[in-house]
Amino acid sequence: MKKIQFKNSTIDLTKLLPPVAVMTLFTVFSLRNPQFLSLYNIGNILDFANTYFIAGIGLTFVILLGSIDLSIGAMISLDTILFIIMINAIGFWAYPIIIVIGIVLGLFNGVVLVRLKIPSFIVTLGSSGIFMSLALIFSGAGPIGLVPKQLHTLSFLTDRIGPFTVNHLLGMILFIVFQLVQNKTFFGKTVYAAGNSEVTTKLSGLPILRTKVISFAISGLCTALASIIIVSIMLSAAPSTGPPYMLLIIATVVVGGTALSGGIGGVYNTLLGSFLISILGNGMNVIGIDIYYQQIIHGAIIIAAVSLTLDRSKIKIVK
Amino acid sequence: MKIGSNSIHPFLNMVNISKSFLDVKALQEVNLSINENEIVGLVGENGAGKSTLVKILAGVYKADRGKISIDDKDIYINNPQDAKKHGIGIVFQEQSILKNMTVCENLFLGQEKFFLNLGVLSQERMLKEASEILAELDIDIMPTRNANTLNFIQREMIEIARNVWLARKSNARVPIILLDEPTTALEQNDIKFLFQKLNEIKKHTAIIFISHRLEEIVTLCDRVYILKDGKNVGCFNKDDISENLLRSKMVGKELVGEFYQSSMQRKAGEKVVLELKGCSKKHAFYDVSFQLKEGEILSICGTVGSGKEALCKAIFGITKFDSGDVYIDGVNVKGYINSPMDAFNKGIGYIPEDRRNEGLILNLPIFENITLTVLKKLESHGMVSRKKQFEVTEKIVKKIDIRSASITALCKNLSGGNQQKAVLGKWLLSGNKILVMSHPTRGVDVGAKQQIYTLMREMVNDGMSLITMGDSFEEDIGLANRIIIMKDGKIITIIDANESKPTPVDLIEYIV
Repeated sequence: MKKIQFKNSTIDLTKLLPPVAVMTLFTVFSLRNPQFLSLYNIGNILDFANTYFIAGIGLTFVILLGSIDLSIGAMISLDTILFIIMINAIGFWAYPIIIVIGIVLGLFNGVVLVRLKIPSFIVTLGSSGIFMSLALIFSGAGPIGLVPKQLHTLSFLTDRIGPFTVNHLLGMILFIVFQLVQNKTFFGKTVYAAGNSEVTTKLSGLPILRTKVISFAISGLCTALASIIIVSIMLSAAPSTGPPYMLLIIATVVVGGTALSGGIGGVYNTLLGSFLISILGNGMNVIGIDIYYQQIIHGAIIIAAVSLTLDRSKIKIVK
Repeated sequence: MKIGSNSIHPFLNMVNISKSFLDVKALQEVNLSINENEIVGLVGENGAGKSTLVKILAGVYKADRGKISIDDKDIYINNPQDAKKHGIGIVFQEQSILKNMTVCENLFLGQEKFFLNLGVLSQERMLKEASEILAELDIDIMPTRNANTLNFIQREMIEIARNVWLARKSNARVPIILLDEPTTALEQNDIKFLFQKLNEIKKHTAIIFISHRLEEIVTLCDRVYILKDGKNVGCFNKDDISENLLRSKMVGKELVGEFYQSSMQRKAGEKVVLELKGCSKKHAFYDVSFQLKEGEILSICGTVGSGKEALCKAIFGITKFDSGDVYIDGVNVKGYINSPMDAFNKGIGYIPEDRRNEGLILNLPIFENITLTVLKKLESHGMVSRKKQFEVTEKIVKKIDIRSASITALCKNLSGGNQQKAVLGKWLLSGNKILVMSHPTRGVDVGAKQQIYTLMREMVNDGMSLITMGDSFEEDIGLANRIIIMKDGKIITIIDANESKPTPVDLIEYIV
């Protein structure tokens, strides 16, 4: 890890970089285009940051363990489609059911991982195919819209409270809850321990397998919550909804400073990352960077962020 | 007399060297000098600063303060290249010989520029120079041999030859060879051979020799420096050195009482806390049966491959028994222990051999490490209170004397002995009554060893029962109430050491 030496203290560059980047981007974009600071646009930024953040919380725990969840994109497609179908049919009951479905999808990933003992990126790459197919089957391969008579079941989520919407409040509550889960609970401490040294953690009698399964379940839960928010904003869903989110959500977690090698970072980092990615995406639109070029930026910052945060002592040989 | 100044004009002089890593003062104003044709020994406990000192000389670390001079001229060493320019080369504990290359290629690795003819490597000249340097140092190895056919000692000789040659090429007057615990992996015969070679090689060089084994220092070195807590505490000439002197200087006090605290040994209780009946694991051990009593220290002796390691792992659930019954407190737990977590919940603990990778989480602070085993117990309303974590850690740290600036310091910044104490502390806190210890004092210095022995005695006095695999027969004999001898996966005999202690020779007779 790179360190800058100040007079009396050592400050970790990787800890300093994300907040500085958020502020810099914010300043640069608002200077280039005053519209960037308009209330409408700020709301837009918050909406995107909120979605990335909520989906990223679960991924944070998975990455803290040193694993990865590549099925989030497909899960979003499946969750949003099922959610819309259920709202159209049964209204409010869709909420608890989609949350349960989200947890079940995550559990599926986790259980396959610990039972078959294969790397998480293969498990979730495979399950991502399964989820995508299900999304295609349930949706009939096309977009599904909300029926107007059920609009009220969703509209309260985008109601404004001051500059924020109900969605944003959900994000804030989740931040506090998972900050506590991460720092204060047996589960959270085990995640950090296992992410740093799985062998030691195992030999200390801690439940490694359960911790992995729970982390993937949280990833499923958070993806379901993010899907609710996406639907509340778009009022429709399609199989193609999810995949574009995948790269952005991974970017959110890693640019915040959570290391892919595990054990370093956390929910707070993901919050910073969500602002960074959302300001960057929005700002590129506002100052007029072609949408075709934007993924170059996203891809490049993932690579840059990982190269800064990765603990290379843990990964001796890079393949 | 100032410590460290032996002759008026030593060849190399290190004066007032200081170095800190974050908050840890690794070296404080340390002096060291070395003359031509001299072997200087460097001893000290783990964490005393020996390795740091030679690494500064080799350019691996940069000193915070201090001066280094050769032939009374100040030199500045900022990186390994600088060190090499002045003829200083280091042979590390982990060897740097590439096994897929020949001896000759290894000798000149990274220095191929000396052998280029219009950009083409001249094999001929390389072979010639290799033969010359090997002949000069009287090393009988063909330069064309593949390095994978060499044994450990031969590879070590190649590394030494490489350093001498490079020093010559850099026009250094006297090559300085730094040897960081070169004997750890060597057999007795090889050590003898190495010493004989070093005594020859010193005619062309100056050598700094680090070792844990004091008898080696006493036989080999012309002069010995003793470091303690990053400071010089003594420098003695060959004639004045004795093992006892070194040991007492290293620890800083005379070692009182017997090393293994045998006087603290107590008779084991009557209660059987763990019993194995006819336990087998294919390719590892067969039909193993024994009882572990409350408050007992049970040693398992045997060579590598005797099955003792596998047995200990199976007891802690890391691997499974193929057959046989295990009783804990008289209850058959067969089928209930399938993972370390199961064993943990049944009241067993395990201290692994590799404390850095398996015993501790180096990147987490001391208090997080020590409370790993009790996180569940510290939980109230689903939350683990940091205050409670601090409280219990403070108590343990005080009790077993873990030396660190703060309990929030990362474990990677602790010395080896303190790290091992942290591992022990973790299990002491767990409240588990049966502890399986795989080499609890490996790589730990004399002082910390004795503290660990004392701690083990205290543990059994508190009603714990220990199964231990010691680092030496002496350790096993010194500590144990009973000694299990294993050979080829079977228990040969169980020796009672309660009344009279056997000698190492007794054990060896069973094993070989």
